[in-house]
Amino acid sequence: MQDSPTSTDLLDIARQTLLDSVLPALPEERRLDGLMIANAMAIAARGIGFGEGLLRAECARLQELLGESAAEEATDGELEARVRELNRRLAERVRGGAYDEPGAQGDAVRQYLWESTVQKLRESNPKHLDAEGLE
Amino acid sequence: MALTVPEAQGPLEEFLAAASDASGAMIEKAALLPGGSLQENWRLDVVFEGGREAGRQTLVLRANRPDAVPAYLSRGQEFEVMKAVHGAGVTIPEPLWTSDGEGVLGRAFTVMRHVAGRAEAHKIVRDETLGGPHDALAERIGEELAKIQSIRPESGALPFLRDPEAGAAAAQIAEMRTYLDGHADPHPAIEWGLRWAELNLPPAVSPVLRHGDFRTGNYLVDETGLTGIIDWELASWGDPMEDLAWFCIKCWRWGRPDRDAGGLAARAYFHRGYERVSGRRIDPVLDHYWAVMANLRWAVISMQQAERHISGRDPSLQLALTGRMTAEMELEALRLIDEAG
Repeated sequence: MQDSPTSTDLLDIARQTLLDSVLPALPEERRLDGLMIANAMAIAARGIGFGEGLLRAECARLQELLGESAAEEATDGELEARVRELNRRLAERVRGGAYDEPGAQGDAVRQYLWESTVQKLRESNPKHLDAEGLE
Repeated sequence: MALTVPEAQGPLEEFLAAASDASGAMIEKAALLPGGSLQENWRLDVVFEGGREAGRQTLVLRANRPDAVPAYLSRGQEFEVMKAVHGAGVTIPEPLWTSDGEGVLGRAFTVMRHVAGRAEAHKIVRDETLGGPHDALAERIGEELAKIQSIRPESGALPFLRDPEAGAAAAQIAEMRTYLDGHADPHPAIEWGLRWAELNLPPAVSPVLRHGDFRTGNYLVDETGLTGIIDWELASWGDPMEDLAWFCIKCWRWGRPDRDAGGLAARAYFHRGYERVSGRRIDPVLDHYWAVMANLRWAVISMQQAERHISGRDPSLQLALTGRMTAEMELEALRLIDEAG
């Protein structure tokens, strides 16, 4: 067990220091770099905060969509590989026209694609979701 | 060996003098302009002794970055595109000379006339003193696009641009799929969009010249209006609707989503200028189709840009962050497809 503060806390305070103390001291032509660094740190902190629970949920959802039996409880590295493989199968089916006909299956896939894309943005750019009126 | 512009001052001055039939040319000042991840642009203040440019001239030298991966058009080809476009009456910086760089910079470059103005998209969309009233600016840009599209492959112009068929929607879909197949991460949302695009293919049309990245950020404005459309290295033959739709997609509105013509104005102004000069009516169904395609294409390009960073070829925070933008275009493509019902 690591001592406090957490990794997220460290990233948060490092970012706050960058924005409050470092950015005002940067010359104009380096300002964009400072803002990009702060943005990258915020994304990373949110990513750590979401943890792997979401990946497990995505895995379960994909298995259901694809009608696949649940895999053995996967270790971290395996889970990522498994989700990638399931998304690859879904992508192949979409390309092959498996969901061309209107119906419950296609609707469920469309819903999954929307929600997983929104989830990516919750980590990468929540302001974009705000602007879209999404959460 | 590739030299920097200051290192190559002597040979560059000789080049400029010879190109303009001057007895001499002196670079008084060379300043690197901001922006450009693949190219560098230098502002050159030059005094010519005699010749066609006699006197003081402000020029821009555009060269590949020394470490740039050659892609798309070469500098010489971009120069030919700019000459054709300039000849068609489009407002662009006048292209003057091009060189493979041998014995000068050691890398290819182009020299054009400097035009005043700024290109920073975020500033332009927030400040009507840049570019004049933005309704009129959007209309003017529509007119310019119609002039660009007056250049067509059947005239024999620009023979080095790839096969006109390659710009068609079906060919683009195939190309994006090939790219996705070679990528480590599957993207089912992009596949969803590509499948929709395949099922809704528009009828084939005669290709026209397309800029390839026609958007706010790639034109210069001063307080009076448009001064020049820039960045021609992605030019190709393509569907006339493609640049039109690209200009209007959400990610090029720079935080002004209500102004769908590039963050400047309502789309109607942009379309009005285009329709008047081209004599063609814009079909909203096709406009919507190509907006979906534009989002898919930008989604794939954002993956390619991230890959330049991830592969270690071109480590860059900006490129890395671009990889996290892919989902914004995926979401917009999904939304637009739903709109179609």
